[in-house]
Amino acid sequence: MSELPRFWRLWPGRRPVRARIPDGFIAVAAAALSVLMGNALAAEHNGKPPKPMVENAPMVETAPKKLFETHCGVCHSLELPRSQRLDRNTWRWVMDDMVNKFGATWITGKQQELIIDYLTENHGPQSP
Amino acid sequence: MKKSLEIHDQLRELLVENGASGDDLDRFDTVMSRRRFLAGLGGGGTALSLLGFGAGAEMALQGLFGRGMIPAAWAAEAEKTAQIEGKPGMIVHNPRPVNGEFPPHLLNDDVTPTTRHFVRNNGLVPQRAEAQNPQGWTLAIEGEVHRPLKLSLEDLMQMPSATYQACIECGGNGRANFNPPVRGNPWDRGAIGCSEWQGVRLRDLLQRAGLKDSAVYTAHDGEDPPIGSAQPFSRGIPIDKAMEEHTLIAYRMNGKPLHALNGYPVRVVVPGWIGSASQKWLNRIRIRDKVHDSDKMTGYSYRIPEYPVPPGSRPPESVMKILTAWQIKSLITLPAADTKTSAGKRMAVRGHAWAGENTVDRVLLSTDYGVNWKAAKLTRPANKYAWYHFDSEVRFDQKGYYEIWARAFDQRGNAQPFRQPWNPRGYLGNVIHRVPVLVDV
Ligand code: HEC
Repeated sequence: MSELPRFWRLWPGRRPVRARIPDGFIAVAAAALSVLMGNALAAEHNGKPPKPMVENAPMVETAPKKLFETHCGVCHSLELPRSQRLDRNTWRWVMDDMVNKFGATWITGKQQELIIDYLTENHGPQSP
Repeated sequence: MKKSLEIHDQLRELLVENGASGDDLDRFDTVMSRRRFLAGLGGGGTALSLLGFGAGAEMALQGLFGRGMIPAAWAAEAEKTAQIEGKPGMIVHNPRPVNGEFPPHLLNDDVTPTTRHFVRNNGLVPQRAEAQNPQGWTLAIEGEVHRPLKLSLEDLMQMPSATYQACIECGGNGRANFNPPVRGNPWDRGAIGCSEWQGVRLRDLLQRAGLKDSAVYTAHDGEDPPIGSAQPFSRGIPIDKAMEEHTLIAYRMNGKPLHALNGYPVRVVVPGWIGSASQKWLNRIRIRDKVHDSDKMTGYSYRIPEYPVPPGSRPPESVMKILTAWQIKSLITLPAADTKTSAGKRMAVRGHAWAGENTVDRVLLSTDYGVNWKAAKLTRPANKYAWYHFDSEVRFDQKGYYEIWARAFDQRGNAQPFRQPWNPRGYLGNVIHRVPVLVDV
């Protein structure tokens, strides 16, 4: 794409990002690993980190992102939420549907709030 | 504890089946032993809540794993990527469930080839479709009919058929042009195709089954497994539209059996209406005595407010109405966005226009932000509901940045808007299409 998009943006609207199609196996493995590792990290975040973990355990600051990656990639690819640019209210609306309509009932209220914060900040209306 | 071992084994098996390398399996085992270590700390529910799933929620989690939901989804994913390769150039918004569209310049064909027909999936692709296996498939017609039917693919193919070019367009096509942005797949303009579909007229089937006087609406069901605990995708149409001669139960697309991602073996084709009416992987039609009331017919799904609402607001559910036909729209398929040319050179402009239940009256083009307009040559469609084609030529006398704009009008005088009217879920986007062109000396 040339320098044109700058002009283009004078008119509201955005173009879809060309998403890479993951290679079949990698997708399977990555999803498996991310769910499992994510769960472990989520456990750390829950405040009761069992001490003797792996040495280079990621820092707690990354937890909201990890929570997002763990829970929001279980049923569909993370590209679905990542392709959105929504304000807090709309993210809350999405979250309510995921939990109440589609069955993501295991995400606790606290985790929901952290994920909503993360999404509002990183995938808000002004995000690139 | 037994449960988590089973999950480990299931997942490991899945990885092995998918050709995981020794390294990958080692990594997997390391993670799993960590997980087991954590699980060992407490018992049952405590372990699960430590794993981030929250106390008391273990039933839900076990339900998902127990149903094989997650492993099955991943497995399907591995197969599906091969299918996406049958759609070169597709912009994939997300791979699971597969949703992808083509940029406008790849939609230049008069009849959309299967390789360039968009894909909008709410759930997973049925195994039957992946395997192109018609064995055991039947279509049931039941509900408010005198003689319920159950037909095999062969039965269906022995009935008289019709062949039409038909625009199928996702109700959310154009969503990326909404401001403020709305929820859902960010379709730009390419979630439309006008392919040639062959099948049995739905009205022939309904006549055979004999509609009762109580028949009001159809409800379509398909074989696609839903995601999580979502209700299986289902929508329907009023009986009048079901009896319209162009509404097909289609088993051929462009002369071939349907592509796995476009609904193999059989789908509904409701031309001119939003795509969700055209149920894929169809296996049952229920005739209902009231307006169909599935999840995707109610709430905010595939519905818009009955009056215009302020952008960014969320009107009450009670004012949402079911989406039916598309409205006047056009697409410039030549030149591609950001094409470079030189001053004084002629440039061909081409594209399509369509109008839901209406007809296209004219398409106007502008290269100066709408100050001057000229009519393009319009070619009539192959049949009702197929798209029209427009042709023209433009020339830029000076260097600079230009935009080619197309604006279609229907026979009632409705034209495409200059700004996208807003609704909460981003449906029926038909703002005029603008293609930037750079001209040098
Ligand atoms: C239990 C399964 C499940 C989980 C977990 C889940 N989703 Fe979804 N999600 C769905 C289903 C089902 C759809 C609807 C798919 C369709 O109809 O196209 C969906 C659609 C979406 C969409 C796009 C369409 C819309 O409704 O706005 C977004 C955005 C989304 N999910 C975000 C999330 C986020 C963020 C999370 C994590 C908090 C999440 N999902 C977790 C099942 C799930």
